Amino acid sequence: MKKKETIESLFVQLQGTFDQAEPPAGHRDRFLSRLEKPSPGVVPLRRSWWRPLSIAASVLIMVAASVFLMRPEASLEERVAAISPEVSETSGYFANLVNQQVKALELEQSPETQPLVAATLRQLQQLEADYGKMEQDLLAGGNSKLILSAMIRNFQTRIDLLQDVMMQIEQIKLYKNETHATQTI
Amino acid sequence: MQGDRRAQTAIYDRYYRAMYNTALRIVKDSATAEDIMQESFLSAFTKLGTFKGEVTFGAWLKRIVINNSIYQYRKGQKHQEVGLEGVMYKVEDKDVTESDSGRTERMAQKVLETLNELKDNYRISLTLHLIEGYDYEEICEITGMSYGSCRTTISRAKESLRKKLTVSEIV
Repeated sequence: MKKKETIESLFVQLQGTFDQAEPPAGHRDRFLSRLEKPSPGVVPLRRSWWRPLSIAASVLIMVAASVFLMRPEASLEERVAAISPEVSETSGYFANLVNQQVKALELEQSPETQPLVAATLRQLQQLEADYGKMEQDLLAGGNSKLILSAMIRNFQTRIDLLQDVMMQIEQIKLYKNETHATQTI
Repeated sequence: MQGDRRAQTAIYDRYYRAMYNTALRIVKDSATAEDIMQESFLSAFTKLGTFKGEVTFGAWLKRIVINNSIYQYRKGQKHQEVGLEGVMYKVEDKDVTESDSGRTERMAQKVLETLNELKDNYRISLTLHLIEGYDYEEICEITGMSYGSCRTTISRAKESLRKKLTVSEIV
């Protein structure tokens, strides 16, 4: 306890004599010129802005760069849509229809219809590839009227094909049932 | 605006010495201490609206100086270098006359030198406690330590200072 007192009483005794150092010469002039300048802000404040600002800037650059780099990656459909919104709408509708029919077709697969279904799917693939080529042509700036009507016709062909095949499958099923019937009798 | 300038200069003249010494005791480098002291004045002038008069202006200003000094000290820890002037200022005035006040001042000088030999966190907490007169709570707040660890630091620092002062026969 006594030790603590001696330290503390020493500081009390020396109170007011600690401020002995003088700032480096010319400090007053330096201060006055600082005072004249529009305040550059407090030390911590000025420095602490650096980091957030540089982070924000780099994020901005990255976003801008990615926007530029991603641009050519826009899907074929999007670019077609830019040229002709009607076609892209129609083709969206057709594509939906075709997909539904293909699903129905796949459900009908049986040993008897298998070769027919496989052949149909191959043909559909061919038609789809053709459609892709037409999209490329359209973007390359070919005769857009001709190409657009060809694209629609392509879809129509696909749907016609699917409907044909479905009818054929129905007939096969019918035939199969008939033969079964005769056999059992 | 001109009157403003004159008032600001008057405030500077009145407080610069105390504020400079306060900063110097924490950062130990005269150029840094001057920079902190002047920046603190400037920020005090711009933030004058937030000064509510709960404490004296000097105490308010000192708190800004201390906060900035601690901030600067923490930054300086990353790349440490020994300032030449920091060593020189102690040596400068050796020829103080043997008057009574001269004796107290030399004693204070010795105590300060001893303080500077201590570990950084000991020096800073003792400076805040014994010279600036902050209590434990305030020191915890300033240094961001928990109450317990800041209490222990101060009492260990006192013990360490006492030993050193006994060796140099001041206490």
